[in-house]
Amino acid sequence: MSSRTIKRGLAILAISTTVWAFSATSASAHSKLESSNPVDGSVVTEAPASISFTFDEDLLADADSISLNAADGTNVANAKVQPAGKTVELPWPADLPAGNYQAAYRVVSADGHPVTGAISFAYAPAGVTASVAASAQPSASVIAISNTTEPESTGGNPWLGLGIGVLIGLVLVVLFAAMRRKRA
Amino acid sequence: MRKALVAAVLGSLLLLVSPAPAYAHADLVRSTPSNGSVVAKAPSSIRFTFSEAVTLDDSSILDSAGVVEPSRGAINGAVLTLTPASALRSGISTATFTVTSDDGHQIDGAISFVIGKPSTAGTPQSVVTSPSVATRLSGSHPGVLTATFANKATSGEVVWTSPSMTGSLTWPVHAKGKSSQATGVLPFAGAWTMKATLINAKGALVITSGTATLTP
Repeated sequence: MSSRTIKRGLAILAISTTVWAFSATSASAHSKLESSNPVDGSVVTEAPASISFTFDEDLLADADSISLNAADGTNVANAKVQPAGKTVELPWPADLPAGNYQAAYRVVSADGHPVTGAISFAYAPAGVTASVAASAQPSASVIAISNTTEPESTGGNPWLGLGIGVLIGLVLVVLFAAMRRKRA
Repeated sequence: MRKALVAAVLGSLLLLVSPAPAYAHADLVRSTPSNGSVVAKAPSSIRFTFSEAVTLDDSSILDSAGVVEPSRGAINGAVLTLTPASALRSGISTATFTVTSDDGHQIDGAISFVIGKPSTAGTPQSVVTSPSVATRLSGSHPGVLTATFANKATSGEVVWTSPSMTGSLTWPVHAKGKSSQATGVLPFAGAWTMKATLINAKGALVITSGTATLTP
């Protein structure tokens, strides 16, 4: 192989690697929950205007809904919601009694896949805190304050694309070397 | 000149083989045998059909003790075929997969099925869930089991996971009178974590979690 061939081969290798590095990025994953109000696992002392979920990308306006469930699993509030960009919200129900709640969502990602998940919080408005603790609701204490968001699997392996790019580059180097030898 | 032409052709080819932008992830469409089924004879291979072409990252077949059986996984477009090194024995088999779709999104999953006659389910057990939806599992031994929820769901899914298995087993939820049910196979003894997403006719959903323990 002459140094010119090698140089040319290396240039092609660099270009093909770059092409792959740009094209093989792991693209769209499902929408992921970024934040919520109330925060998962928090104690709410002052009722907010709404329960809201914010995702990492815009949602499709397609049968998105939010449900509020009591600790005993009964549904307290449920509504189809219209996303505003990345956010969906459910108005805070008037006269919501103190207690432990789950707010569950079902939204449709930009890629068309439904995503479900939930957060848990305790509602303890000032003045009734004592009654929460004393309430005849033994299940309240066993509510797992855990994020039940759908586990999002890790993206693909970008090194695979890079590796294939390098491989193609190498094949090209060999091809060019062979061509030169044939001409010589 | 000729060299430049060859380079141009190769360059175009390179662009063609680079991954096209895809916006959908691969989903498991069906499997043979199907998840939760009882088959009379051991299948010579297990097939998974996905919604689009995938590449294989990992696959395995587990026996009724949850122990890995030697097997080979091969992808042909959107179909993954798992072939055991030796014939599967009667009892419960589980097949797991991890695949990556064109858009670089990795998904994993599993199916379990019974070969031959299903064994007895044993004593039903209640599953403590949070938020607490009264939940009953129809048995205490591995095999075909039914979870019944005191929740008037009409759709949803129950996802079971075990620390000794990658992927998860998914059972569809359907209405059953004033409650709802999901049926499938739990393949081996030990602790199983359940996450049930229960959706009623009005679209209200509750996601409840709990743990069931199975004995051999």
